[in-house]
Amino acid sequence: MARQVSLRINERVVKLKVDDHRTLLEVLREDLSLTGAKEGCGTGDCGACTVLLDDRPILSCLTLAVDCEGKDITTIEGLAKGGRLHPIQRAFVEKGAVQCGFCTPGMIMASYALLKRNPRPSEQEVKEAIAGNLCRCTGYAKIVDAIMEVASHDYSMGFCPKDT
Amino acid sequence: MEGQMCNENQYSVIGKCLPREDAYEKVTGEAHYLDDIKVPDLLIGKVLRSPHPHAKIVNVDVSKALKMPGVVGIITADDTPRRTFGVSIERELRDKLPLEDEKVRFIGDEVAAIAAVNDEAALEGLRKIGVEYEILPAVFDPLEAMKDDAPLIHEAQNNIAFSYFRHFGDVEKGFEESDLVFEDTFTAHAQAHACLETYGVIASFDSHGTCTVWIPTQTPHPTRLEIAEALDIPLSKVRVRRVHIGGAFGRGIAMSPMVPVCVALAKKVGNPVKIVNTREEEFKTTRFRHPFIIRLKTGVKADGTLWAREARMVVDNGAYNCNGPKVISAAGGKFSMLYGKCPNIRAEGQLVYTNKNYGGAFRGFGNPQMTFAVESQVDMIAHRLGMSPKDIRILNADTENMTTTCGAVITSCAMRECIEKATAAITIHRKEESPESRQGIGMATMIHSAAGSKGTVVSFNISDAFMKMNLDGSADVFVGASEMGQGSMVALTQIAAETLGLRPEHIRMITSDTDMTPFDLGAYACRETFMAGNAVKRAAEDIRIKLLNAASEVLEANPLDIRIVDGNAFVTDLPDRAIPMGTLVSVAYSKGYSLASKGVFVSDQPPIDPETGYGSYSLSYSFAAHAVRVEVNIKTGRVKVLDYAAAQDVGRVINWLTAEGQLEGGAIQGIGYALTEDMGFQNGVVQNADFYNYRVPTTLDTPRIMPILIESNDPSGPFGAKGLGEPGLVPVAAALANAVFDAVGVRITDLPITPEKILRGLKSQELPGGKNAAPS
Amino acid sequence: MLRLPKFRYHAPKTLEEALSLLARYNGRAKVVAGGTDLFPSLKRGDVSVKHLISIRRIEKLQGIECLGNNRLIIGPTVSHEELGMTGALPKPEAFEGLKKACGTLANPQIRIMGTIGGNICNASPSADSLPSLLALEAAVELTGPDGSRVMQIDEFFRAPFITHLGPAEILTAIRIPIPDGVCAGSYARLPKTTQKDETLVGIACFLRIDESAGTFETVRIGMGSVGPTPIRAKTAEAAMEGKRISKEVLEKAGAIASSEARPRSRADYREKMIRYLVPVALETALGNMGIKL
Repeated sequence: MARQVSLRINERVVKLKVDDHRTLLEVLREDLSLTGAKEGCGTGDCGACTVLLDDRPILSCLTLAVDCEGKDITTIEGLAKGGRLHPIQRAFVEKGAVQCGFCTPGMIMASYALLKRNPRPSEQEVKEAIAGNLCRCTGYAKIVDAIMEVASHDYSMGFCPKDT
Repeated sequence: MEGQMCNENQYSVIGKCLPREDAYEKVTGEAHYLDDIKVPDLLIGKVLRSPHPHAKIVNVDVSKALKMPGVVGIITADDTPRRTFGVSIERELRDKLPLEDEKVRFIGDEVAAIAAVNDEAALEGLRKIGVEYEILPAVFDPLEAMKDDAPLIHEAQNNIAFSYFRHFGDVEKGFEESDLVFEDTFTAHAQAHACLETYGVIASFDSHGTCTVWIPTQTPHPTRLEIAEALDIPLSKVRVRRVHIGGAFGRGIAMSPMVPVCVALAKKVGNPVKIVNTREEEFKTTRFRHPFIIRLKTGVKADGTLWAREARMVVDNGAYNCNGPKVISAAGGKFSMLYGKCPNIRAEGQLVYTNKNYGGAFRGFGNPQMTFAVESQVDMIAHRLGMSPKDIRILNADTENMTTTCGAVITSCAMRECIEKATAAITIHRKEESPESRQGIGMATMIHSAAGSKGTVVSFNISDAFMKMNLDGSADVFVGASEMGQGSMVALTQIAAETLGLRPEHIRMITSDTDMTPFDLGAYACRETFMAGNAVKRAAEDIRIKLLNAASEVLEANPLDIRIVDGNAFVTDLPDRAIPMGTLVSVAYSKGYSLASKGVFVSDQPPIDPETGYGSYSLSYSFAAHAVRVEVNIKTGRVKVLDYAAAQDVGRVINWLTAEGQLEGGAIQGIGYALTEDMGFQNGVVQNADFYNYRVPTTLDTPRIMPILIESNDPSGPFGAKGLGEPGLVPVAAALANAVFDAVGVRITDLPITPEKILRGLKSQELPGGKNAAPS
Repeated sequence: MLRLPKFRYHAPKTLEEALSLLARYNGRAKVVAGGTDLFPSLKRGDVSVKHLISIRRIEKLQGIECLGNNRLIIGPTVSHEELGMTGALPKPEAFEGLKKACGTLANPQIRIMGTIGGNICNASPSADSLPSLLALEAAVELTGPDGSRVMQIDEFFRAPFITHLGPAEILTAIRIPIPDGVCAGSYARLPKTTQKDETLVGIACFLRIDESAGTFETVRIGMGSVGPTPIRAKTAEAAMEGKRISKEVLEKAGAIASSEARPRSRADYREKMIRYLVPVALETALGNMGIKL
């Protein structure tokens, strides 16, 4: 029950043989060593596995890898370019939004998806956008601060990895 | 977010908003947690757990399972030396085997383990292990379990695992001398750590018989000893490597039975083995906060002075001891120290076995439960006396440079300032959401250790640190201390940088390997900043002196006239003639100076009197006051938390971002504990065993949080700093219960605070005799 | 890693192909759209499957269409997000409740992945979209090898997580009559504990008023999470129709509706919350028509 699939991950095309029942999370972590996306629960309740599919945030633990053919997959590993952090990553670092860091990749991907659609969200819109990402360490305060910090700058010309 | 600006002070690095050193790898996804580590030839392990709460193990048959495809090996208790383990408690209190052989005592108790080539094969094989049980009657309620006719869970007279008793002064006389005496009972429920990462372990033997064990541990060195003792392996053959930890809050202190099981399995099969909990296993079989029943009897004078205080605790241990004896003792200790001037104090309690998963260390370690009781009752007392909650606390507060009745030596103490600042922060009135909304303000205070305490078997509180200089002028610091996300490493980096005169980015912390680091008790009881910080400071001072001596030869000046700033050494007022650190290191070596140093810091207080319990178990104590504004809907009973101020005496802020982060995170975790989290034990099983049913707060459940950091400049802490990780959670439940009372006059004495309880309370106010009773 | 059991995955491009696969693998196959309910069930072992038939690529099952000006056809694979944000609706006030439910349920990831068809077929008693579908008197089109049939949505649910969908059938459309007159809908909910928790009580309503008489002409109240299936509070509805618009009528409706509920847990609290929430939902719907009490 394995088939050849061609996946476009962080702008690179990867050809893999994948069993039908394997999730995108498994394939990223086990076949491609992209371990940024985490399994916090495996049942879609915590958001730690959040990656982007065509710029939309989805739960990779509930997504079949074979279902992703023909779509753009963006993971946390695809944000920094040439060692330069993406503005969201930099804001998370500078605002103290990272403690244990386990929720961080999913949190950043959800924030990235928000700011791509809505570059100037309100604080309430930020909170709604990351309501599906649990954090046990930070109390969310500095995470919201970091996202609002990025939102207060004009990135209209160069927000995506592709653009910067 | 609310919070003060980073410090303008006399330091170059201390008190600044420095980003943590591991933030880069965490935001890029490069940081490796346990399940991210790739080890060649790794097998997957799974643990076979008891389906019964109480049963004799009659027979374990692994023959069918061994024949399953992909199964490489299976272990039972026969493959272990059958030693109980646990360095957190005295030998005679250890009662847990890595794999049980005679009895199982809770649903989830470890019986066997299997290693296979992948998850599916391991699970299939597990299903084929045949265990014959003889079911025994089980008991789940601690009050039932204390009865004479209760089923006996361990070989003992009864199910009382541990008893605690302390008496200072004379409480009976104190009650007689009091103007009013109050008796109230409170219950605090269990709480799951619910870390985003589930617990896991990898064990791998090399050809010399040394086992490397990767664990998300807060205590690498004590755990190393625990593994060696549990499996009768020489200590030198055990190497513990800490990985990035995806949340801990106490979960990583005591060694989980999964660890020696994984080591024994790896030994048996000859391959590295990884065991990782699923989320369901995490909720059902890892440690959690002990439930407490607390009866308080408190005598006060008419002016509000607390005169006699008594606490009686029944703590639900679960099936095994783990940290239970220390948790009940710590709760009793905190009870005695808060409002420590009170001359008559008695604290007693029973730790009771039940046939459930057993509790362990969780942020606060008994203090959140005790503080919920004490601080709720203080408000009730204030209300009866017609005093404000703030005034009664100011009156009775601990103060600096005092010794409490129970012998705790308090040096730095900004309790009163915490109370003032927290309450002052909750003043802005907010417009009620609806005609059914009622707002209220509540507060609570607390005391906690800020420099750790002596261990039990490892009966010392010590941190050791090594340091060396590199030829490029950078420095490496080696500590056995642990980083679990709380920010200990960046704090130690700043302490080293400030002491040495280097920039923080030129200091590297090497911490996660017992082979390479000196002994440290680990990250718990808020000890790292104070203990490891002092050790690092001493190691850095030692090197600094050597560097200054070398510089004095080159600069032809008195060492006392030389400064090191940003890695450059120069005579004061002559910065143009500076020697960069790299050059200075070479010079020092050429002149025969060693630039490797060590620093040790030990807690050297007199021992606690074993008879009376009199004494001080920590070199420093932290204090906090929280204040909160809530809005209660009198139709739905729902509580919305609007504004939350957490004021904490931290001695000195080392890192502003991480310090605030601890207060903010603790407040939300405390709000979860008080309002939304419920494990839902039923017949010995956790019903709410996933994030869908066990509700951890999300962004949409957070109030406006104001962390207020207060510096009391501790005389013994590094740069005056003290530990600060745990207190953020400790007073939250009490503050919320007090705010709910202020809003609607309903006093909730058993956690969690639920809408139904509030509505019941409102209804009883309408009954004859109640607050809002119709006139008869 | 929590894994799915082994299955074969099919991604047909036409409805005919999907139906034929479903018939061929009779009993061993399940239809999937978003997977947000099915995949956790499969991982937990609550259900087993050997063939998974994804209907996500079938164009006929996508999109929101207005037929004439009197019927809305929603494809089953329309995501919650798409339905919550759609601007394509005539008489938008009538669909306020449905849009709000879909646009705010769970969290962004679930709203993007999950579908309205999946929500209906999963038939969770607490699903947020279902009360509004009841209040709007939606119908479901079920297509099998022998053709299509239409069923009113309030007859579609049999028990928690059990519907009248036949083993060889696929839910192919949700049909909602577009109402006329002065009307509006709304949705109000209370969660179990945290804001984004499962719904404890969900009340959707649809109101049409007789403007000149100042009375309620049509009242439909859909209630979720207060019984084994979503239900209509028909007695409360009847008590309101024809009455003058007033706060008292709303309060009375709340009381009657609460007695029509059949909650299986936290019954006392749920009944109190129905009493509280029904007037809130009704008042919001009136507000959506520009009527303030």
